[in-house]
Amino acid sequence: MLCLHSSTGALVDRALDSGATYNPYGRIMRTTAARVVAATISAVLTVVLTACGGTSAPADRQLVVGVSTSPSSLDPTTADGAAISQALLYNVYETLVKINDTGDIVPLLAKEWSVSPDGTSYTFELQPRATFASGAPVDSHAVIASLQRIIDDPAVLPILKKKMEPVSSMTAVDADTVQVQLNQPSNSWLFDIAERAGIIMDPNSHANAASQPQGSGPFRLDNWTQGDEIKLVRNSSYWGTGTKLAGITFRKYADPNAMNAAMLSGELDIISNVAAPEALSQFSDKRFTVLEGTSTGEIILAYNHASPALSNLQVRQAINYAIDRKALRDSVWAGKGELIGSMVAPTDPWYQDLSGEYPYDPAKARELLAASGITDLNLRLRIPTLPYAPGAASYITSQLAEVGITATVDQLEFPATWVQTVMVERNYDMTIISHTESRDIANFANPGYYWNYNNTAVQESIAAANVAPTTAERDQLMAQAAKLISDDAAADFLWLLPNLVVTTSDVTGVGANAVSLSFDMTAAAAPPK
Amino acid sequence: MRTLKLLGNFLICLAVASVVVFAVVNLLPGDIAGVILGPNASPESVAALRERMGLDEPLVMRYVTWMGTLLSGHVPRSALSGAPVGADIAGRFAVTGWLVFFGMGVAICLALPMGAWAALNRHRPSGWLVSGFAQFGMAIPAFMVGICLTIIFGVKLRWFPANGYVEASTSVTGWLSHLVLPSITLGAVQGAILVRYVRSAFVDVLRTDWFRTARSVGWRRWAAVWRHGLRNTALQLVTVVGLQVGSLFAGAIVVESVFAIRGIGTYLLQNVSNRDLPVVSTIVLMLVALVLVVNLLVDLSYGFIDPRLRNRRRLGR
Repeated sequence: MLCLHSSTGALVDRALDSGATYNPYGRIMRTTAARVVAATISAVLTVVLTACGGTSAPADRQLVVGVSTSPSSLDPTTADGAAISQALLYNVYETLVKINDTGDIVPLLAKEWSVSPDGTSYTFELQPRATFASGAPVDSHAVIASLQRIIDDPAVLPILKKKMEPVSSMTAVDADTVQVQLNQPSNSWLFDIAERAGIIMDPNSHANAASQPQGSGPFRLDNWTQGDEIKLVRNSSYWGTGTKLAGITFRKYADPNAMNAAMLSGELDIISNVAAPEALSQFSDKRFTVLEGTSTGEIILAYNHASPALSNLQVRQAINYAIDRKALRDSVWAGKGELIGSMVAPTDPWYQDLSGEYPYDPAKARELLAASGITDLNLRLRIPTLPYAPGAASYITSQLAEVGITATVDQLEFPATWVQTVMVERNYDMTIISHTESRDIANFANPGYYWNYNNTAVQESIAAANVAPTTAERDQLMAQAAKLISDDAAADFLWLLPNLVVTTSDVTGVGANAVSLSFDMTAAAAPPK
Repeated sequence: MRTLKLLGNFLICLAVASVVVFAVVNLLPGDIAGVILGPNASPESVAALRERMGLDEPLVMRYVTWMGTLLSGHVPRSALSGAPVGADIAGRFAVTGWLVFFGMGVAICLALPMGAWAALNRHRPSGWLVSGFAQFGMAIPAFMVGICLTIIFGVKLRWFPANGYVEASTSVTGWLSHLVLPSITLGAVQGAILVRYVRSAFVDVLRTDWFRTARSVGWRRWAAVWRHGLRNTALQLVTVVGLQVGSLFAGAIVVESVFAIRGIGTYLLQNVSNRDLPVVSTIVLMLVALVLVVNLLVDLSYGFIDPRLRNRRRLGR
């Protein structure tokens, strides 16, 4: 440092000399020129100085994770938006049970639980030592207060209230035992409370949850810069096996190229999900680890069943036959992601491979279209401005043109305009969107959803599955519903969004799959440096 | 008197701008209720939330509320989070301010010598080359310059951070090094535009009698340009630079996205995307006010730059 400073001085002196030597025309030039040169040199040197940092003892790592969306609020129960749960679920907020990397339900705040033989009563034994980051105990009263808030608070999202509908009463048996009584058996309820609907908040923090989340997880919020980053640090009083990391920073990059550049230049430790799979080749050298896993994001070509032509089964089937989904995925998403055939991810227990149900067959598509009696079919394909949609839309448009269907593509800004136009006003014929919630096949049993899809057979299967006495029977009924949806061509299931995580090669413990809404960093580790 | 008139103009412009900005921003399709409820929204829940947030009030009423808040000296709260955003906006304006400041510095440092060279050598190939180079520079979009600089100096050579931003209070060197590539990106394109103005301003000066006189009494060419040319082109250049401040802020929005800088541009985009309309209207109005203030200052600065304008009144004109 000292050495560099003195050389700066020498250079500046020389610059002053040169100003005096070569420009004898007056004071202005000598001083101005010298100042400009000196300022430039010192600026350059200051920048160079940043490269030579001092050495100190190895410190625990604050891992920086690049993400593509940033939340507008930090309360996952009152605002939608995947970015909130991505950062906070399991990392800051814990639930009674959690969904692990393979899609199974495992204990978290409840060390064990039991279900009554009739399936209507759940008894949870809480971890006796569990505390919130504030030091307050996670006892039965805190658990009930959090779950009751989902039911009572009018600001809570309707979709979460729906998940708590089966609950009729909750009782604190003792400090560490909670009993939940359901109106009727529900096979989805336990899974539902493993995510947002079941987060247990510090009872004193409910009012400020939108900006100051207080949970019992291995991390706690340090600082949130809206639209930019969420900094979590280690919760040093964590009740379980804590993390070795100093913390995690979720940093938002609006531009995927900027995120990739930051990773390549060493400013990021992890990319949560590579937005453009063709960019993966940049990370093929030894400095990086690429994890390819599955998500629960089914990308579908959704049909508006209220639109006259699309209420016709033959038209829907014609479209399904007209699209070569394998070629589509290979060209739009660099061949990454599985072909699914229905609204089921391979990590769901009732998964069956239905991807062969509508093989690419333009001749058959033309036949079905002719049989339907509909000619000059012109459909509005109104897509969101999301990475996969424009490419898929132009591919699909050209394939539909081959069988004589005209699709007119409109790009609508996501989320504001798309949600308003497609989901609320239902002013569309077809759209392309990824449904990222896990086990969201149940939407096909909701005739009020934006597809306007009303099929009583599907509704009955899913309702029966929810109250089925055994998981085997449930899985069989869910598989039946998935098959019905496929046979009815309720939508065209294009492909499953892959989960493409990039980490620096010294980071371990990051799961390859994204089966819950969380970017689960609770098991992540990296050597101190 | 002149100052008062300028000030009056300024206030009228601002009032008209506030109406236009508010109207245009509220014409955006889509709304915040859909953003909050996300892809799981139902028409009923959207309608209920709209009513709770007061979005169903008439446009004029919402304008009055917004203006009332601003005139009472407050920044409206975010419609999305309900949190005050004044400190956020100020912090982000500061970041973009530095970016624009350094970007302007780069632009001027490029444009003055290049423009002067092009003017002095306007009958020679080297002058044409500089002019052609500037034309070429104007045609390159800023984001492409940014991406190229990132790949070369951020990723391959690693001379500077590829992107991001560090506050000066955290680390002065980190702050400067993070600003190098964005400032060059912003300044290069603006500089290319500025070259043309500098060139034509210098060409005018070179044709004057007094410049010829200066040369004939023995001033060397570049010395005469420095002593007489620069001063006499200052008036025109300050006007152009003032006008360019607006386009620099617009350019900063692109540059901030490419370099992932948390400035007012990315903040504005984020709030447009969230349909947080009170915040968007406020920021746009502030940008309008800023451009108006800069141009007001430019008008007022004429007197300081040009003694002839300063002395006009004293001479009874």
